Amino acid sequence: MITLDAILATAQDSQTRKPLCRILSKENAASIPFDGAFLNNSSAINEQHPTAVVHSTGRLFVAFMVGPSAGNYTIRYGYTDTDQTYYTYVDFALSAARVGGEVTVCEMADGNVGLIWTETYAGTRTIKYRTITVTGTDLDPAVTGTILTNNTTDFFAGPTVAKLADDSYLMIYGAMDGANYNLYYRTSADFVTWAAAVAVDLSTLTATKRKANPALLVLATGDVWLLFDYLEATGPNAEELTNIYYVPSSDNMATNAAAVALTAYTDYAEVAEHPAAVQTAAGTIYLAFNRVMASLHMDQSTTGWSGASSPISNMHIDVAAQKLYVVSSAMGAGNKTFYSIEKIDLATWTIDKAWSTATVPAFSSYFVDSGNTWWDSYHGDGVYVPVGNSNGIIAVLNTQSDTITNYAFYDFAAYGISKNVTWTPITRAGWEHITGMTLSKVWIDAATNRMYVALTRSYIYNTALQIGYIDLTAAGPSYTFTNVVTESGTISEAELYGFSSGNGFMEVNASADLIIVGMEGVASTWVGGLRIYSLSAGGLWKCYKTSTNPTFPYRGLKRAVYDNGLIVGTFTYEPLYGQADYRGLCTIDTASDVITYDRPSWATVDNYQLKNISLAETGEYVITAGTYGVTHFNGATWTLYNSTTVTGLVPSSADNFANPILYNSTTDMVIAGSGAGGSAFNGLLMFSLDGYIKQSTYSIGTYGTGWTWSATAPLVEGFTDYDAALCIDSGGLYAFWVNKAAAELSIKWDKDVLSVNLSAYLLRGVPVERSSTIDPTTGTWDAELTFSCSHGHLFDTSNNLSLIRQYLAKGRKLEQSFGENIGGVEYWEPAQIFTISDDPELDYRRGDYPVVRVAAETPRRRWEQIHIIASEYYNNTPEVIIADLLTTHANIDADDISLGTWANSATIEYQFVDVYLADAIDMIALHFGYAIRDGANGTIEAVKITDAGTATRTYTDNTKLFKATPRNKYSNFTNRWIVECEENTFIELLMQEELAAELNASHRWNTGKKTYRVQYPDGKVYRNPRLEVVDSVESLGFKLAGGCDEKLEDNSHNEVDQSLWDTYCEVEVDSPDLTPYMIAGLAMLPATAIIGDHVVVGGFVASAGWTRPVGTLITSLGIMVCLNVLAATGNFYYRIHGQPVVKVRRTVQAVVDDLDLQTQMGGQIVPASPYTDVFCSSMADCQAVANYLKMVGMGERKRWEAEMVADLHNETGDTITVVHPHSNQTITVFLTDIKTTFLMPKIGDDDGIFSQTFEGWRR
Amino acid sequence: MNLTDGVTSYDFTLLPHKMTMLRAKKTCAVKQTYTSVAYFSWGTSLVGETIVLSWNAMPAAMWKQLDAFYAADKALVWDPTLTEIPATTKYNVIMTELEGEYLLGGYDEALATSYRGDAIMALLITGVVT
Repeated sequence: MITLDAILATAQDSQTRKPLCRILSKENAASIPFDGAFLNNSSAINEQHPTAVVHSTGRLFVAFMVGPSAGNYTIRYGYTDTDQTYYTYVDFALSAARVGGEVTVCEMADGNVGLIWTETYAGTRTIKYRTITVTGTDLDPAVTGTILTNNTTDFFAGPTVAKLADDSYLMIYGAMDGANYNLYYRTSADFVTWAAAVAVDLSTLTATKRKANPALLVLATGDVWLLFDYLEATGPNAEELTNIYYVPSSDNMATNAAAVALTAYTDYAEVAEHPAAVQTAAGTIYLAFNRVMASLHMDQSTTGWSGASSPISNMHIDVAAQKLYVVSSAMGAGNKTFYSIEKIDLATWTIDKAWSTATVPAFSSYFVDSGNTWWDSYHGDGVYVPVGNSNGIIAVLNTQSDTITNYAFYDFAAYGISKNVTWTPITRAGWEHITGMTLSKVWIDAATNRMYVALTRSYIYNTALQIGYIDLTAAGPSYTFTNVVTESGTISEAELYGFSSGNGFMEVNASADLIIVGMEGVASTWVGGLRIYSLSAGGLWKCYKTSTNPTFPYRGLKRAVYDNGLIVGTFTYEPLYGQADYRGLCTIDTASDVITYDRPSWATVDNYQLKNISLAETGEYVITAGTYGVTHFNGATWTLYNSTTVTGLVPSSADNFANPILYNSTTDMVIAGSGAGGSAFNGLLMFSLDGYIKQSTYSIGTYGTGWTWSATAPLVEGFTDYDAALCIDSGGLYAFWVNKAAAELSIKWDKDVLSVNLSAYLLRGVPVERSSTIDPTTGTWDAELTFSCSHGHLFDTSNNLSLIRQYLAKGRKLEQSFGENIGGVEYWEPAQIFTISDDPELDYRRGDYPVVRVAAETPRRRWEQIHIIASEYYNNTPEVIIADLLTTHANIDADDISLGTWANSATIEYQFVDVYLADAIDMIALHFGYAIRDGANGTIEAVKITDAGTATRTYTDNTKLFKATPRNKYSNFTNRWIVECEENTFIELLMQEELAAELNASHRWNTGKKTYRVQYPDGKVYRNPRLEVVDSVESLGFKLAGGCDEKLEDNSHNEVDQSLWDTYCEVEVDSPDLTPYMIAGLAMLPATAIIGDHVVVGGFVASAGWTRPVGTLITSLGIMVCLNVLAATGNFYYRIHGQPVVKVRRTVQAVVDDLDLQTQMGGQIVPASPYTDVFCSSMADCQAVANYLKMVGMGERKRWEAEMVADLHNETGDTITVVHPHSNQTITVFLTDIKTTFLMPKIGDDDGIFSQTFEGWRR
Repeated sequence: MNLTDGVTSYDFTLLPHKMTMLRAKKTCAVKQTYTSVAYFSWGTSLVGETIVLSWNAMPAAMWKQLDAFYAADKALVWDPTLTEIPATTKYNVIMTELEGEYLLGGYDEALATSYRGDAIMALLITGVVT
């Protein structure tokens, strides 16, 4: 039962009601930092210099400069209605060819609006004014003119304008007086005539230091604050250290206090500029300013980084989602060990998630133990992140499904990874016995879901390059590798080596239908090559080498990008072979085969250390340049970025850029890995090609004995979002700022609004319906809210002119309450929380007023979409397990979970695998007879499903009853329930013998006795292994030497580690060691050399006659022995059979009967399907669940439905008593369904109601 | 009596000869229960009501201005003063209807003797000016 305010509770008994309904729209998270919405989605014309004010009528007005458009600029003035629901724009075009600058506005004393702006033309800067109505209409006659002019070569800052407490106007701007930088103020009583400029007293600051970007704040007391940024110091490379200062004045700037610093940046890596401020309360000021940073950094010390180290070896951007995926692996000497993958949100520069060998899901430890995960070799795309290993395995992380799939070209049995790629290594005729290949490059094309893999063999007699693809959508368990390129014996081993081990590159360019393979000549006199294949046909289209094109770099290209017919790449400087003048960047025109070179202008050296390259825009490239830094080349101009040119770019000034580099075209940012083994900084950098990152930041000033300022925090999410203007009204803080995307400047806006009350928009004559339901058969609780709103066009999420379009957008949080007006005071029940299911839909049709029908759902419905791959192994009570599941997988704060202690709580053991969160929660809840609901104020609660509950609400008459219906619509004739489970403990079963493993090998003449350990595959366990000798090792030589012995030894039980028992056996193969025979044979050869030939005549040795070559004969005998020994090689092939050992748990069950119904049905038993409960482990457990199912089955046969005057006490899971309308007997009802309807009639109609329809089990 | 759109403020040169009473109406409902009755009330309100003002004859110049408001279709602020005593409350309104017929002076909109006959203006009250 819901606990109500005492007065509201009493009112529930009354027949006279004044019902209320309140629906608040809220953000799911804090509004700040703002994500923002564009004022104009479609315009590609720059918008900048926003300024905004809330008018005394309640209207919001904003102005900014738009242009150039066809060379011209326009001041765009926008205003809202007094309810601030939609924008209307009015344009004030500047005269032709005038370049618009800063814009500033204020509300004038008469309610009109004063505009001041700068424009430049033909070397003259003009500061102009204009007075308009708040709705953007020129006065009659128009009031506009010039305040001042100066030379565009003169320094100028601002202007800014404000209405003072005495209804006069104050304008501030910055200009120079000789060598001194001043801020000047001018005053006006009518916005037309402006007094002479007077310099603000800034004598406590250095006169020759720049003061710029003035902003005015008029406090409620009438005091004036002048804010500005002040150039504290200038570095040796013209870098600037600026901070925000302000000077207060209590006499409209006639005099002012000394300047006070509001920020305290001390070095050039991060500075502050462009202040703006607004007073939100008597003692509260919001200060916004641009935080200007050299770069953003990230390494293993960053919160959320998974790896123990952070060298960046491979990375890619999911452009659509603006997520960066970084692969970190060792880049120093030794194995290139895989560390981790980090998923980085580029909008906030925070780590969303990380994967390693220790996460869920996890990468195989093979990537740490063996082989190499090379740099610049595995190209991800979209949601796919490949991690390759040179030994022939690729683990592909699908970040959308959060799964890791291994694609193994070979067996890695020790790591439980079997070869699952169906492929045939290419090989040269006659060298079929050499098939091993190295995995060299991977390139994923997300658009086609293909993973292209390049494998190489650099063995001199059997070189090969094999490129093919695997369909990433294939279900497995085996994956087909489709060949695209096969070259055998046509590429030198030096080139192939220069395509593996982190050397060379591969680009698969689907739009150009090309596979580009770059091979480096990495040592000695090795030459490099560039081969270009047709992606669709696989044929070789181009091959560049110095032998055929002497202008091609001798050692090939290190890295390159394909750019509209050009291949632009880096290469190793080569002083010999006539190439001494080839320096910098190489460009190959594939149409003409002309090769050209561009030499960076920022140094005069031979080796510019250019390596990794990324295409910025067409014809523009960002390139790593080793210890020089990062360089940008636009086809004409070279720009260098390093710790010298952009102070603070790299922590510890450790410029070392040899890692991957990317260009994010969405934000115009460069992302580069920096450092390797031994560097002072190993990690990731993001910086702007503009030199610095700018982000609007804020600090809150609070007045006590003086002003104190909170720590600064981002005001907006982006890093190219700056120049914020602030204004405030009773509803919250508005911010307007400039968003820079590539070269385009746009205005974004947002509002910090805690909640918006939608009650005024609720349609009369259309009900607000809130319902909740418990499904006792599944333990699922659900709730939803439906209502309709007026002003549908303003809640239309596609209407960019609306300020309230996001308040009913999909995913928005709603807090809904019913209440009563009692004696003129509004009383409310605790709020129920909902989430809007979909963007509201409406029809625009002439003659129809646009209304929106809104459907919202309980937040727990989202649990149905949260997939759990594997939870931890639980051994705890249901309350603890459910709380952990919710906090771990739904990111719900533990403070928002209040499950209490369940009546039948007991420890259960389980690990959830491949299940949705809602199903996991409901499985547990159902086992214990509970349902989990979103309770009042969003607290997650448990409710007991029972037909024996104590009544929480008693109705002693039918004065509130509109209608009552006994029913049993969900019932059936089931009268027996069976629950099954498996016991906790395992028993072992020995299965029928089967083939467990195979073994084949060769024994040479000197192998002798050898023992082979045979590991049973796939972690299987076998008992009683038996050896079947299909091919014996015995050969003729071995047989002559005494024969062989082959036997199996089942000795795994000798292992101390019992987990190894029956996982392997050993086969002892004993072939004779023929070494003595060999030695004897060999010894005979020299020994017989000294035995001379005898001349025999008539059987006697003589001095003349037939020669008998005794020595030679014995030598021949020795040779024969040796050859026989050498030929005595035996190949064997064994099969090992064994009985698989299977561990099973015994199944038990419990049965419960509804004997009354069985009797009623004439003894017919109608059993339900046996129900298997994974949490039961004994018959007693099953009995409890069976009893619950019986209760549900019987309860469904006795339902009671009624409609009555709404009682805000009631909620699903309550037990109430009502009176039977006819018999007047008491009926007790367990509430499974409640729908509360609030219908406020249209004016003049009388069909309103505030009612509750409920259903439940009666008894 | 006055209508303004924030830019143009117009004092009626002729008050209507008839006008809907400015009186908040009650929104309520009654529903019989099994043994009693339930009464639901949402109080009284002027917001949402349409006020109809009618003139037997209206000066053409006045019609011209009201027609300009009608055509602009913008939110207006209405001061419903009917006597010398100013109204204590002003209302945010939208002019939903303006009907009439040529009476005297034909199409002429400036001639002092030009009139529109049987003019009716309907104002939807959308809020109370605070």
